[in-house]
Amino acid sequence: MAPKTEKINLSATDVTPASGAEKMSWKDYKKMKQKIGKFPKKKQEFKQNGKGKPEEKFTGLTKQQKLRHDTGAKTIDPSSMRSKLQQEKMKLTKEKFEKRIELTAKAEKRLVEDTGFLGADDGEDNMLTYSVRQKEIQQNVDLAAATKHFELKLPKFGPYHIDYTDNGRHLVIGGRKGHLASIDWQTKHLHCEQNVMEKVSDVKFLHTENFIAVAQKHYTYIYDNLGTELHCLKNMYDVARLEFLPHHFLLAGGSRNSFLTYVDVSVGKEVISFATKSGNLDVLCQNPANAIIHTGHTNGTVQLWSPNSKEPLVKILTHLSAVKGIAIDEQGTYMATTGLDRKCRIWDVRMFRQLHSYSLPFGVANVAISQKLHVACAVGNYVQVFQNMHNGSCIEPYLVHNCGGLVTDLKFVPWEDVLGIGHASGFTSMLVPGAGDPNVDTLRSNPYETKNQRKEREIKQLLDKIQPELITLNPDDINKVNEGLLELEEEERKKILYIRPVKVEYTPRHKMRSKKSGWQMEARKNMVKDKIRIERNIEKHQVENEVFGENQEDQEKKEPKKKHILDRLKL
Amino acid sequence: MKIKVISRNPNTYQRETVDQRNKIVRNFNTPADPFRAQTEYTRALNATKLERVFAKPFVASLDGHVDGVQVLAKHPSRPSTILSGSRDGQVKLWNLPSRSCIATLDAHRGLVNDISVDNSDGNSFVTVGQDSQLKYWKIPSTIDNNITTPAHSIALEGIAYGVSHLSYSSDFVTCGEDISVWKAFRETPLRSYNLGTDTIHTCRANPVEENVIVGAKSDRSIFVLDTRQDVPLKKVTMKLRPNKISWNPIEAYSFTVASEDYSLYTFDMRFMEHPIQSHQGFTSAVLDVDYSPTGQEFVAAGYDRSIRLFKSREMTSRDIYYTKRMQSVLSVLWSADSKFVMSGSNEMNIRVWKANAAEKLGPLTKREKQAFAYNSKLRETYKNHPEVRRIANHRNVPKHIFSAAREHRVIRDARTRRDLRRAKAAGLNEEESYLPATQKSMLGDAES
Repeated sequence: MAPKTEKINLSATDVTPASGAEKMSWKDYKKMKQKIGKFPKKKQEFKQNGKGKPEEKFTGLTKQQKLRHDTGAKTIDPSSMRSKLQQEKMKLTKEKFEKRIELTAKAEKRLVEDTGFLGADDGEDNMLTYSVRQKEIQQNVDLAAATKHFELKLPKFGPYHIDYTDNGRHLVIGGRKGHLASIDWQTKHLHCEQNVMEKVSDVKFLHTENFIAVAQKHYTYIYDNLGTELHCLKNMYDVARLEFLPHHFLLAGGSRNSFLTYVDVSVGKEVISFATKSGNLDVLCQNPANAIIHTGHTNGTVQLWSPNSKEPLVKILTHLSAVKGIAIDEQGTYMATTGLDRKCRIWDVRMFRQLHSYSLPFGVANVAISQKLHVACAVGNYVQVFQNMHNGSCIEPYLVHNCGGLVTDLKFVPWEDVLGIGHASGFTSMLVPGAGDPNVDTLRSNPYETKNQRKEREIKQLLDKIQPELITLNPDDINKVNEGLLELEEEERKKILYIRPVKVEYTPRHKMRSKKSGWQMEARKNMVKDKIRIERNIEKHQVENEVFGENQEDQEKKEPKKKHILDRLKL
Repeated sequence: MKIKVISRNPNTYQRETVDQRNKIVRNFNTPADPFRAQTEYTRALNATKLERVFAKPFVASLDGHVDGVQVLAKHPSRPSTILSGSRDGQVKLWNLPSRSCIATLDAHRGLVNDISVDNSDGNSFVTVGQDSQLKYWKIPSTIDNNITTPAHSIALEGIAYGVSHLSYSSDFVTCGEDISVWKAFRETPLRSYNLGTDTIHTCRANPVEENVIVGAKSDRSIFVLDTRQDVPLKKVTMKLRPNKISWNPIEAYSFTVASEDYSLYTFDMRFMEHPIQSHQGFTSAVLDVDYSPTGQEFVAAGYDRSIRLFKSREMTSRDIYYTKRMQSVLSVLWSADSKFVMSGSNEMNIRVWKANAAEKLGPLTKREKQAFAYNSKLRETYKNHPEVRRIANHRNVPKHIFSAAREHRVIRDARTRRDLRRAKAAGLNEEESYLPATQKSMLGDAES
């Protein structure tokens, strides 16, 4: 036996012994590394200062800054869990939450703008914010903001439909009598104005302000920012509402004869057009978080459509009467619907569940949701804006405005405290303090975009164009493994294993009377055996056909079926 | 009444003059983009398609030989110099950056069997030929057609089929009827190992372990030999002839064998009962193999007029290179900077290919580097998505390879079925009778 030697030599003149290095245990290795300093030591408890508490890391955040984002992580008590494992798990969860608070607070410190608000002064009692008129607001805000409230009186060509670009900089208005105008509404610079001499049902910006889709009496047309007609989309016929899906470059149109049409505007091809068989599609909006089209119907349902299915993905009974307006917030969490039953309902679109319901005056029509979840409802000639409708704490309108004409279209301007209203006697830009997100991430959407930046964005957007096949209720599906299908396949395979051809045992009864010779007996035996075997085989084939489909090669010959990218996710 | 409405100062967002850059204002609290997964998938798909679009591996052809290129060798210390020996006895030295021949030597009568460059200082190389000659050549510091005669030549008793320098040394071994260890400028070998009557047609010295040699004999056996010992360490026999062998330069214990049975096999020197991995894809005999200096990949030459690149532990090839005019490939080489592979073929050409078919050569700007890195990461992340995998794995192959591969698949399936039935008839169950391809390739008479 070799003498027991000291295994670790930590001096600088460490030499491997001539007999070769001895195998070191993991424990010793760790110890050695720790001494050298490469292996991180376990965190030691701070016990020097006697309090037994580690000193708090300096984060540069005040308590108040953190408190603003606290969701109650401090109240989590890991020691309340029974098992050690659960305690550890809980500890990790708590750390994660605390980290989140810190990160959010840190990010907030870098923000440059503050959210808008409207409320009583410190000394005053509760004030009715909805009694504040737009003029008063205009007088009390700075000059630049005051110019954001304006009215365009165009009673001859109304009622108007409106649309803003994604960065909220440009506005297009289209009057029923054919008036079409595109404006940079902040500088009040008019890009173009013309009369298309036809009924205009809806207007929509495509990915930039240079393209405007207009649903006219028969067809849908695309104009550029100077008002030149670029295309006539004859396959979008008699369209009542238009929607543009910017990630997919799809223009979706709901027509009065119940057809829903998707056109890829980057290549100019129709993706799909089908009859929804549910009447006039004049209440239509998109879910900006998953590019699903929501349509409202006279029977009170809201139906969800994707270009990949001719049947609605989901049907929700939202109202007991006709649906008049739908709006979905940017994150795809809340949906607001209004109906003829004078109700405004707030839904969780992810679960298709109603959260809250509010009764409004008669004449409820359009609805819109802002970035900060303010809800605007059109009620006859009035527009009522509500705060906190999504959490159920809303008891009165936040702001009310009389437009002087029947309201036909409502759009909140992204990144601004402004609500655009299209109505029978023109267009109103209404100030709604606190409606928009004040802090822009200019890499995603830039209201101060230059021409070069716009060109670059256009190209990047085109490179990242998502194929229409990928439109699903949950856009994260693409990164999931279809475990259900795998299990199902395995089970089916197992089934077949049990229906193997069984060895057929059959011995004919020996009959004394029969005078059949040996080979005759053998033939009879084989006949019976074959019969049983054939029956068994037929049964087996049937099961196989059920599981694998018909003989795969035959089927492919019949119709070479194109495989869809997301087929692997189907059960 | 307290009131505030968003009112931005445009100066925070806009540049002051056109010469300045556009300002970028971030909001790090914006919620995540709901389409990020799909956008990333789209980018990954596009990156994969672009990779296939730009896959143009052929770089250059070095012509000058007047017979098939039998052997290629690289210089241990000069990455830009390679040596080639042809079937008419000529040896040529090439300069890769200028793609020119820098020396031509009429070295042998008949085939040049093998070339090996000195591993200690790289100032000499040894050639052996079918004319039973061993020639020793000096390499001057600048080569410009200034090598004419060998520094030393020895007439051997039998034909030497292979020569290989030991690592970090100017000693070398030759193989033929026996294995001999030589010192430079000595008329007789230091030591000879007689391994039986069968000819030893290839031998390679381990690039890391100084005394270990692997070789293959014409009785289809592979042996490992330590030059400090008298008898070989290990010997195993394959079912078909191993043609060439290459050591993995990083894992000193593993080597890959190019076999006559259309496959390559990677062995672990310590467990030689059967290979640890088989590499398939060729539709004809594999004639040569060479490892990349990283040890992660190797290149193999096929009699079916193609060369294939393999990851060292993967069964299928990651790429296949061919041209219309390339005939059966006799020799391959992976360049010392690991960026190129060379192939010497029967129709007298040496072809230079990129090791990564879609790689952009030449200096890259920072943004290009970032874009390539991002794209390769995307391809890696999404490689198992069916659509991405289909595009990344698809290769158009010449018709003869395509149809041969199909035929071989049918044959292989039939053999599997036959074996199963035989096992069943013998009363064995499926699991007992199953043999992996690595074990099927061996005769099962391992000695050690």
